[in-house]
Amino acid sequence: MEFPRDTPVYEVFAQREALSFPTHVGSVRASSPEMALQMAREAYFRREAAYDVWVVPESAITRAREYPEVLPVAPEEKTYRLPGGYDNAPLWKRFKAEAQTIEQVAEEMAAKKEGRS
Amino acid sequence: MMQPTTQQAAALKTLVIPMADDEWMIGHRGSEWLALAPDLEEDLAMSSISQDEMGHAELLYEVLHGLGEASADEAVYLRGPQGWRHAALTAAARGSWAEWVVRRYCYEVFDGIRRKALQRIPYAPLVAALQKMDREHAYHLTHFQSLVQTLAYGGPASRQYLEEAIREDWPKLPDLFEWGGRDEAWVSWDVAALAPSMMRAAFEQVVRQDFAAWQLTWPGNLPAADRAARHHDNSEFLAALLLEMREVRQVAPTSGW
Repeated sequence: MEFPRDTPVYEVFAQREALSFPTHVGSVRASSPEMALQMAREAYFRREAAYDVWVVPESAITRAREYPEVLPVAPEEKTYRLPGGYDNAPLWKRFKAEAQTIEQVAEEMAAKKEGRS
Repeated sequence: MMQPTTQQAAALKTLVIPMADDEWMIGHRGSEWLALAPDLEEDLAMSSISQDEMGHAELLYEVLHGLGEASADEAVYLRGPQGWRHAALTAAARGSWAEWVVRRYCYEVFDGIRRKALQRIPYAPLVAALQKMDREHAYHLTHFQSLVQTLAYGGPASRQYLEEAIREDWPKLPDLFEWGGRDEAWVSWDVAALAPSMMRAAFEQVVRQDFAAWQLTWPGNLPAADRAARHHDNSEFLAALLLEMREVRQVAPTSGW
């Protein structure tokens, strides 16, 4: 007996408003793109409206996982790209706690710079 | 027409009861496909469409209630088999998936024609109900056209199921076009489009066009309707359906659901 093949998967994207980005909301199986739109409507938009809905055949998507050299990995060895060295936060906290004047803070920072404190 | 005369109210009932009952029955039978549709996506779609139909039936029962008929709950849960005026096709027992697709497609085409004809009757509550129904039905028709098309081009086996289903449903179609009441009901509105012969012709025109597009053989002219169209007085089949439909409510008939 020949078993029927599964219908293709379509990824569903919804644009909630005219100026918002289309966001992935899920996927459906359907026999055609038009059918996929109908199925998406029932599966994801029964209680809410959308400005537009996109369906994209899963097969049309190129995945970075298949090309490891371009897959973005956590930049462990790229600390130079991470923001750091901005240690004003504790000073701000103290400024607020002690009700210092901004001149006092500036003086303190200048002293720190000159190695006075 | 703000307040219809007794005669007008009787005529309106003759026209609206069949539509309300059709919508209810097709929704009820559709709900039986829950968990049985070919895939999860269609299961959701079909359940949602069936809920829409039951909602439309409720709207129409409310219109009838305004004309002096029983409430929606009473119409559905307490009315005897002799009071129902749905077409045989809408309440037929569940068969194959292809049969259901053909049944629903034919019903949507027909129902669109009927709604369009009824919209010309200047009774505000009816016009409002029909407008609300129109919005949802446009999508229903598209959906069932897509499903027929899917079967038509799904390979030889699928096409064979579809053709068998068309042969099976064809003889069940004619009583859709009847009102099941006296002709005076629709004649009195002077809306020629309400005549069964006009609705049949409009139906044939749409379906012929679709069938040609899907390269389906036209099964021949629709047979003539039975004189007892939409009357189910002695139908054991309907009694069984009503019993099943009311089963849960009958567990505690006096409690408020």
